[in-house]
Amino acid sequence: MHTNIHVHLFSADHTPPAQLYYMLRGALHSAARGLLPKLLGRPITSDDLRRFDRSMDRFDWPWPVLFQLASAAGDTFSMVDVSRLITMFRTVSRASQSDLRAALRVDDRETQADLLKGLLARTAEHRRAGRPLPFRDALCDVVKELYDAHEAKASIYGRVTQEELWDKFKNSPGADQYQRVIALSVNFDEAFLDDNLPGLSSFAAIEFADQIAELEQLAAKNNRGSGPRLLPFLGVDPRGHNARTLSEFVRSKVGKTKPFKGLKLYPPMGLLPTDDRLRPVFDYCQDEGVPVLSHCTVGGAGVRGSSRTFADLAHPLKWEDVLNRLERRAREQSTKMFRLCLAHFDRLEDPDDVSWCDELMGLMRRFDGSGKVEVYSDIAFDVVTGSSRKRYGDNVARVLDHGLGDRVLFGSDWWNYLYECDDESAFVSQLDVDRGWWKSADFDTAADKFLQDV
Amino acid sequence: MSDRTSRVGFSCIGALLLAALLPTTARAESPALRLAALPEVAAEGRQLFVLQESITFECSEPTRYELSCDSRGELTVDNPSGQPIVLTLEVDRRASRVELDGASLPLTSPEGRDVQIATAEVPAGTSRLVVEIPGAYRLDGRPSGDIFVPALVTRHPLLGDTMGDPFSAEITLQSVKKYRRWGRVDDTRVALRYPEGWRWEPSAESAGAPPACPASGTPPDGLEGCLRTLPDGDLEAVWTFASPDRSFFARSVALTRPGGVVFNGGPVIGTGFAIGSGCRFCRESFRAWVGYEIGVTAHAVIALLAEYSPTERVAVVPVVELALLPQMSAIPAVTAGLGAPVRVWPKVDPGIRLQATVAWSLWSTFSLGVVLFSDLFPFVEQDWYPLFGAGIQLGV
Repeated sequence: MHTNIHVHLFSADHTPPAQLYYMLRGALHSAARGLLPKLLGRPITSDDLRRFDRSMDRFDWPWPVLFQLASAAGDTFSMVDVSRLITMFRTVSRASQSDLRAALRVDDRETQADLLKGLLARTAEHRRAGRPLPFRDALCDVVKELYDAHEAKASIYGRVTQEELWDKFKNSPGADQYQRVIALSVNFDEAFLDDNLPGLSSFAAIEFADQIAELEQLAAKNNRGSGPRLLPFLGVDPRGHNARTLSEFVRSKVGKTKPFKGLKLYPPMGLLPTDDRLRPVFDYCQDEGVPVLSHCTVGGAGVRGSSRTFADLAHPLKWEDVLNRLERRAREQSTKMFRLCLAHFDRLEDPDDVSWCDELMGLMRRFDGSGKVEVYSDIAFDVVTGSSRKRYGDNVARVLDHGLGDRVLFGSDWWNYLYECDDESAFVSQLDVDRGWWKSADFDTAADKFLQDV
Repeated sequence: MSDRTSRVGFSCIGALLLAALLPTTARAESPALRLAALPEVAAEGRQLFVLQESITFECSEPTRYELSCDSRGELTVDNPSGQPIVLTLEVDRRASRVELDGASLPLTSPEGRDVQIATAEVPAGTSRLVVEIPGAYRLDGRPSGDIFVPALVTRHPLLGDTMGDPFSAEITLQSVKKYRRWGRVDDTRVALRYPEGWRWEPSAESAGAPPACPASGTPPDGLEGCLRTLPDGDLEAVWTFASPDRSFFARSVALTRPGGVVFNGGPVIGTGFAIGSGCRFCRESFRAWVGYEIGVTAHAVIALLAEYSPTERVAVVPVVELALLPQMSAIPAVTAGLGAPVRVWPKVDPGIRLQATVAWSLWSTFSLGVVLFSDLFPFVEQDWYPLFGAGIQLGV
């Protein structure tokens, strides 16, 4: 693999604490949530999940008992890998291991049982105080302490820059194989403004404008030297813009001769690809051959709890109208190829077991480039996701069997995957598990095609 | 990025316990948090200043467990440019009315967005921009609306209509300043009016109700606010907030509707057999009963039953059962407790009963229970006591 299509260089300073809260909450909820369809005897609905989230936040009886049982059960109840959580947060923040252990209330064994025990103790404190949502508040306390530990050090040693993370990535074992790396910026400015989480800011310490200015400088500096080329993608969130200003912003930043080489969309943060303000942006991408990468799983940063409301924004079929329109447009006027990567090739770990794979595969087959619209996917992160790995491999193998191998991109989702594996080498070694399906994928050809006009 | 999900689920014992969940959970339907108008384009909106922001929440109680709040967000906007500025404004998708200086602005719903937009020509100088959102916040705390149906709700449909633990839920109040779309927001005033009978709970941001308002009615600047009683008996919490920097007013208020102690239920009818009464499923083992049930808090049900059997003739049975497990889908709710059966005819004999009921709520209209009981009449010398019985009971 010579191109890694999916890397993040933004740090704890570029992401709001609210984002970490939802990530942790999602992990803690997921095991319990998985049981709902069995207990309800039917597929769960968004409404079920909303109520489930609420009851978890309240943490009434018997939740504490369940969590105590879980603690006692130890490794049979694997929700959060504490060591990996600490590793991940250390990578992107200034907090030390001991800071993080203190915030999570774990000792040097870093066991999940201790984490749960610490959470239960905090929850009990809030329950005694009569808080209506004791579990939510306990989790907010954890995140607040994590960020406080980071802030204390950041005030001495400075913010964590993207250059630091780029150096960490390049020094990660296995990263030396890449000739091109796509760094995806994400606009968190508007993502959590509707949330009022006690003690947690909805804002990142570094705003998006500064995040992309920093990334722009980093790419320029890096690409003057040797080593892998850094190709930044611009995170786009239409909120705060109208169609004209958004289009002007994108045109000024993205293109073959511009600092950003593609677009990154993150629908679960509250936007839809059909947003009318994105129309001229996509037209521009089609005219200039600018590739677009969009998050496409039921989870991820920005997904509030278990509710599908936000997750559904990322559904592959939300793109169908956009792609049909662009295909019509290509017929009517001379355009380049519109290339869209619907990232992660969504796994089958949705609580109601609904997979987006079939829909995504349908789009990949339907938009094969013959109408100047081409749909890709990548294997970032999800290829290493625990119990679903076998099914995931089977599904990607189906894509390859359909001759779509040259539209499956390689991406690792560094640093996010630190939650699951250690480094690029470990990530790649995971590909060998199961059927070895990936060997028939043509990642380099796919990347060359996807980045053809970059 | 992708989320991280679990690798292994709960153990079986965990699964069973999961079914035994909480009594009542308040449910907030996606609230409107953008309570006043926001410029669509931040760069354009920042040319204008909000001199005064006033957000008023008017809450009513359509049913016992519901709190429905309409909001009115009023901005005094200063346009210092000396010329009118045309702005596209975003408002909540539920907003029913947007006014600029008293003139209503037409609203449209753009494709792919969860907002409505309106175009306004903001005149030079100051103007008043108002957004009204009916049902901006609705709390639905009906017990039957939860995934886990409290045991007493399944026990009798009429109990389900009336009983429940007090619930509390948060109402989030936020200034438009948070969204950074206006050039400046100088002063914020927030008022929350709600019916008498709702109580403040400690929340992450306050220990309880704010202090009583001073005679002027204006609270000191900050997040604490003050509380006063309005002439119609409703209560009003008021906050004022002014900050020259980027800080903004945002806080959550937790309100509870205290539940009562005793809840009226309704009639039950049942039939079954007492196994051990000398024969199985014969005429002598037959039981039939009618009764009436009431709830005591969310945790106990009291029933008074009149039972008929061919052998014991007529007995009066007061029973108290405690809620143990709520219903979750097909997994029934469980209650268990003690009774004091008293045979009243042909002669009076007191006894003791152990009783457990598993119950399902059917379409929130009926309650179907399977009752298991064991009776002991210590003063009756019969060799089949204690006897064990089972029956089916319908709450209607």
